[in-house]
Amino acid sequence: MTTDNPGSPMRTHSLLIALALFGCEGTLLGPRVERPVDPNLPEGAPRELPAPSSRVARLSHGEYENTARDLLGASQSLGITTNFVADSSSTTFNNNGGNLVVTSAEWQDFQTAAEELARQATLNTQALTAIAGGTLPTDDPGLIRALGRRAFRRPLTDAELTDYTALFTQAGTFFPGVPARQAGARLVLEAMLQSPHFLYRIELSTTVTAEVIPLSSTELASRLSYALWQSMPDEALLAAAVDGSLLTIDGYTAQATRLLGDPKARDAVAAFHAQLLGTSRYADITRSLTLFPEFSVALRESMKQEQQRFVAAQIFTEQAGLDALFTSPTSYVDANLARVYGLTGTFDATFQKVTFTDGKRGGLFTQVGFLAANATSTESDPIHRGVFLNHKLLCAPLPAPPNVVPMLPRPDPLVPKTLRTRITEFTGTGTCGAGCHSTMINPAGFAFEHYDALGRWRDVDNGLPVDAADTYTFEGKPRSFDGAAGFSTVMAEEPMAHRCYAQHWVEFLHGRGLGEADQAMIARVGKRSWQEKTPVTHVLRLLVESESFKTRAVEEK
Amino acid sequence: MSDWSRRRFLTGLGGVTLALPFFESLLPRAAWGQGMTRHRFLMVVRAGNGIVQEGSEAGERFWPRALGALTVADLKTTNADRATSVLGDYAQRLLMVKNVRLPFARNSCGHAEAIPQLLTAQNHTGGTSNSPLAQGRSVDWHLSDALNGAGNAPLVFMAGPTNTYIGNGLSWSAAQQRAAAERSPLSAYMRLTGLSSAPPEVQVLVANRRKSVNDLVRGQLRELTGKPQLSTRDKARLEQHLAAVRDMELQMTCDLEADRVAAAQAITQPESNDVRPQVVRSFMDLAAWAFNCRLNHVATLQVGHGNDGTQYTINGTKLPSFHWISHRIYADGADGEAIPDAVELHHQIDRMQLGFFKHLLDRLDGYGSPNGGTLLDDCAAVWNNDLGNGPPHDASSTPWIIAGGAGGTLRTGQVVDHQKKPVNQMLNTLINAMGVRKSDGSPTDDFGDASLARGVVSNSLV
Repeated sequence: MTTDNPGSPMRTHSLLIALALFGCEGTLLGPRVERPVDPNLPEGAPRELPAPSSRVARLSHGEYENTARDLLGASQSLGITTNFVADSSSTTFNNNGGNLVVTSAEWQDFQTAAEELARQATLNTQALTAIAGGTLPTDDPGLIRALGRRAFRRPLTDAELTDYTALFTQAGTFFPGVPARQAGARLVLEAMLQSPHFLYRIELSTTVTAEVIPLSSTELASRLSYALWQSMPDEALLAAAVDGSLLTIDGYTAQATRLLGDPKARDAVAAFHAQLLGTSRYADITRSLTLFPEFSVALRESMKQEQQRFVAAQIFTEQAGLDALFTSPTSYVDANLARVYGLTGTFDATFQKVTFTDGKRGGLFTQVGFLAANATSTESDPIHRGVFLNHKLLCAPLPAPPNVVPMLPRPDPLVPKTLRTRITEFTGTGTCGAGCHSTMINPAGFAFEHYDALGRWRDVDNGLPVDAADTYTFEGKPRSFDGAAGFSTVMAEEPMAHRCYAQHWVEFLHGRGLGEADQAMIARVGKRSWQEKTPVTHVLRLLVESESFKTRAVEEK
Repeated sequence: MSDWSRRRFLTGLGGVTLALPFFESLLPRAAWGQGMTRHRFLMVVRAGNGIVQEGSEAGERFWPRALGALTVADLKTTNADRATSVLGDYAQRLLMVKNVRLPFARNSCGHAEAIPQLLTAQNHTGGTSNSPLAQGRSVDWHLSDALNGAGNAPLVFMAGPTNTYIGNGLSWSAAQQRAAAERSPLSAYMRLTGLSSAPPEVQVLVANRRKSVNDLVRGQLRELTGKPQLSTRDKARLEQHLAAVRDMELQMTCDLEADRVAAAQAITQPESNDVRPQVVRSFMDLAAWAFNCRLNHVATLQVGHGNDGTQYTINGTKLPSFHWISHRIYADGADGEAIPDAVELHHQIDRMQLGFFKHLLDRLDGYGSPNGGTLLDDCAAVWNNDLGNGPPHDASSTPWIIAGGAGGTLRTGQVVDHQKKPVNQMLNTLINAMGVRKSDGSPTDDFGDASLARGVVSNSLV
């Protein structure tokens, strides 16, 4: 039994607000609950404790960009991070803040950006009002407090107010000719935007209750907004944190639901899928126009758009689950893509929703971007397609490849064979590669043999009929299929893919690597996604409403 | 972007808001003053995918025929068919070291596991990912602390794309902490240039304003770092941040030549394939200039991503991906059609890579040294490759070429066989050549993983 309905007795737990902690530490951190509960956890189920995480997660460049946009009240990205030295990411996602550092190069970027943002934000009263949160306080301390509350995503402490007031009063000497209030606001903002309290998501709570450290309300607000928006909390969320309503189950659910309904959540969901599927690689796709006359440089952007529109439509418009991402026969196609798909009809630069009725396409993995990005320049590359799906979509425990990978023997022109046959002879059953290839890599890759290096459909390979039927063994359970649509359907029917998807979301929403403690939650949420075809938006709610999301581990990382 | 005049750099982006240079006068004397009487500089240029040398099907086409003494005539004539002949003019200022082994067994992708070892001599996190992490800091950061002073990071450059299968991995600021690499020479130049051409009164105002802000930020960082609930790792990250916050110095008078500035400005898409050679040369221009102006003493440049897939153009022909050429097939993996003349193409790319390196040597040799001679004489300019050859991508025979002598500390004009001994000894050699000792003042012999045999490259140091 789950406890999603509002009448659940578990909701009463939410009222355990320990405002007593709003003392000296509380001024900085805000109120906290004694022990957050997960309203979705089945009665009697074991608790799901958090994995260790950094207390000072640096904003990724993407988060910085979004935060700058929202701080200044801009309608679109300012491009302030375009020339930042690129962060290095060793994980699937680029928001692992506990791994991000500030060396002199990053610090110079942050300094330059802070000065430019502060200049823009104080150009006139309208800009200043926006960064103050919509209402411009008439007194200087009020203005400093308003700026600090938004920049630090929490109220300023008294000591901080004193420090920034001192800076405010010095500002006139540094900006000759600029009105005192404008100069003061500019200098204070410059300093706030270089502060660790802006550049990091800081979690300082220490009080241990029932084996966990509950986050304070402002810490929780930031964690929630950076999870679902990749950006700072807005005024409504911050207000809910400050008045403590965020710590009630209803209040928290209302905020999570509201955030998920905002266009900023679509951007975050798009970023998640783009990073998971390696969409940035589409920009590198190049094909010979002799072999692939449908290719054009413009096709790269069309591929990216198709994926983004498909994901947004399934998750937000259709409120669909993972199974639809894997299998829906619909997509969004412009003239560039229509040529590759071989669609008849009138297409132009706008994207139209199409439904593939011939069974040849369905879901994310038969889209041309995915197929072309996972191919060589001339061949379909089933091995790499198979490895990608095993790693990224099934989280299959593939061992490392051998140190020295021998070359596939050259084809004998007198004995035509399909690529599948050649690979099977080289890596399949009875060869040294059989362990991984014959049951895991090759079947997943061979499923896509009807699609060539650009993702075009083909019935023959090297003059011989394509065979895209095979059997993949899911956790000891063999499942047979024919073709990519069949394999995508089989994947969607197996819990393995749902667990893997939930696992990636945990990593992305928390902005950290996985820990052992995450496995129970991943298993539970993955199971619901699998059994109930739970909409992805609901999967996200299940994850952010968990006890693990609202708390820190006692062990530090 | 077409009109990026220097003046516009300095006054364009939101008024006077640009980054600062750092200067010799900022460096703590103790940092390079511990018995060091002259400035020394290190730049490492790394190529990938291996070279065409003995030990594979391709045969020897890289090294001079004989070990031992190296002369200009020998390198340019007797060994004209070898890739290293490209560096013939510098023969007597070169120390060539063959067969340097990356010691930690590879369980996964050879490229991904080789590059984190190359400058760290440390093991890596391994696993099945394509981005294993080095378990310790790299030699550029180690030397930067000593030569630049703590908090002044080395220059970390990469000529290559951001989003790739194996990205940048040459420079590590700490264990498992990959240093971000600058991709754009123009951005790097802007970062290094700072406000040197702004009117003095503006510089003073900005410097004072920044100092006020920095003081406040430093206080906040110190307070946070002191929080007992923070993990050791979090504290170390904040301490690194604190060390990076620097005040502005106002005396810069050292300008990069106009044609070099123009070359950096001309590169509008630094990550794109077709400008890779220009990006490489521009970064070399910047490093040489930064050394000459004492803006930094240490730099690394990674040419291409882990398994460099650049399609280089040689003699007007755009070649297939370098990585494909290094595997001899039209693919990154095991399956693909054979590339005709792949060995010859690989050899041509080796020559091109060393041609890039020669550009660096020419730049360094073009600046004078206060010690007499040229800036190159004060440098160890290093070229290496994180793999030994094409197939089978052996990592026990990585090639190293050191140019310049490092202020008279290196025995140049010779070819040495390191006989597959580990890379930590090569790095110890470089550290000693830079004049950096252990804390007790004895020569450095222990950089890298503690399990490795200590020592330096035989007969390499004066």
